Amino acid sequence: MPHINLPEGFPGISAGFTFRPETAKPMRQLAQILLHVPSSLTPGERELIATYVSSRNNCHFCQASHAAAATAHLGDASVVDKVKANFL
Amino acid sequence: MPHIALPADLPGIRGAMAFRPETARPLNALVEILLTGPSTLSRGERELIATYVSSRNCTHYCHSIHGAIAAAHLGGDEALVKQVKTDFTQASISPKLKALLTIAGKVQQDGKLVTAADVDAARNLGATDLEIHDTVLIAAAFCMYNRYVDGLGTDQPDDEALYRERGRRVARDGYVTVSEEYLASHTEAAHAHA
Repeated sequence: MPHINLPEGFPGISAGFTFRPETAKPMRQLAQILLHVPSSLTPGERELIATYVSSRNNCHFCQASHAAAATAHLGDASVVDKVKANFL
Repeated sequence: MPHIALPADLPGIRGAMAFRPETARPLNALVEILLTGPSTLSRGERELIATYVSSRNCTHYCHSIHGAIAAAHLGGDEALVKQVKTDFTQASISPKLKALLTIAGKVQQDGKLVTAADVDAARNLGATDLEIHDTVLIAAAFCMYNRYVDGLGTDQPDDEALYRERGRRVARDGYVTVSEEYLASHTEAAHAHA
């Protein structure tokens, strides 16, 4: 159960975003620029960085959701699993 | 020396923000809402939370500048800011702020360390859900800002007077306004890097 009265039916960060839309807005913009807007790193590569860090932070929601995004970009879940376990 | 070619005249996060104005804008918007936007916590209290987290992360630029901004909001009381950095339990601040700093300190280590008992303690001292939310987000956001500043090897000067002067300006004008000065003047250089 969340520590504060977050809206029900929203998992992970989406509950925090819904609770406080003012702070959600710049965080969503930041994620959009860093992960989605065209860059010399592909969106799949950038989602792998986000997934790897979230995995090292043991944050289940973030690693699972960004792993799903990385898989969608790369079309291959096994690469994502390997990056989480041992990217070398 | 920074790990990448950041503008040499801008220390700490300012060099990194000038390098990449696209990401600087939401980063400044977030800190502006959290630390200066309407809230039942005073600006001084919120700056103390940011200062405490930055101090625990040992990020010299961030704990110095936010300590200076906090002092500017708190009538120039630099001794109080120093006390919060070294041991907030002995500081002349409200019991509610101490309970919020306890939560912030746990978020700084690992968000999963925050317990229902920590949150109940803050609530019993009058903290609202929004204050608890913002405390957690200030702590989490400053871990991000601190790692951004340290991970790029930014220049973090020792000169206390520099932080004191800038702290007063940020306390008076806010983050977005002050940042527009150096973001505007470095836009061309930043695009050359990008």
